[in-house]
Amino acid sequence: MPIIRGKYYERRQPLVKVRLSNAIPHYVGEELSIGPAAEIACDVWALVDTGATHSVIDRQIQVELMLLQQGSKPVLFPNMGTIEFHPTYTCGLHFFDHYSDGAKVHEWKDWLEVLSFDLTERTFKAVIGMDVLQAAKLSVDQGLPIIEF
Amino acid sequence: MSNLDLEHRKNSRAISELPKGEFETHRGEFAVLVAGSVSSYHKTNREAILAARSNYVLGQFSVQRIEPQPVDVGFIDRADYPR
Repeated sequence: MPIIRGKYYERRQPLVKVRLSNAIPHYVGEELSIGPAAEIACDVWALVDTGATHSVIDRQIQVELMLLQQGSKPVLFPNMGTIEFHPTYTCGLHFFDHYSDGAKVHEWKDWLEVLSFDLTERTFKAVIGMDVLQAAKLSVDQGLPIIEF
Repeated sequence: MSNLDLEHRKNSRAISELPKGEFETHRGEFAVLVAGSVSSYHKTNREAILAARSNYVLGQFSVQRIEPQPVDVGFIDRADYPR
């Protein structure tokens, strides 16, 4: 069972380090390739949010990773009382332990379906929602925020 | 709005129109959707994408998780979205 230790943002919001990548199959000419030749990845802080049903990445990261649209989902914005369609994408997800010299500690078992939003000027560039957390034990009530898969 | 986005939205609506029994049977799985209907169900996103890409041209299909809609993005909305 890997344990991922993070930190707090403004003493309240749990953050963990993740690597997002485009390590999913793409076409090279006519052939489907899963090789790392064109792999792009970026390491960012991700907010752990049990109030989010779905995981999210920053729109700029989606552009940098050259992720292709995979679908479209209606998204509820309770504060605005509106529902809007937003595109979905697929990316690779690795978790890092903040206190273990940057060693990768857990690779998410599947390719992750994510929404993309503008998270400019935020400390976090991704949100880990319940679509991922429902497979984990989450402890945030004392010491460090810890996710255990 | 592009034709691709319209196609994805049409496919997304097909999920909300699934019969309740079929929705519950496949809840949490990933569907390959083509022309506004489900083509196949898969246990993982990986399996769904590989199946879709081997059977359809990129842009002709959507792959989406079977889950209640609309989705809630949590903190982002309660904080200050949109800017």
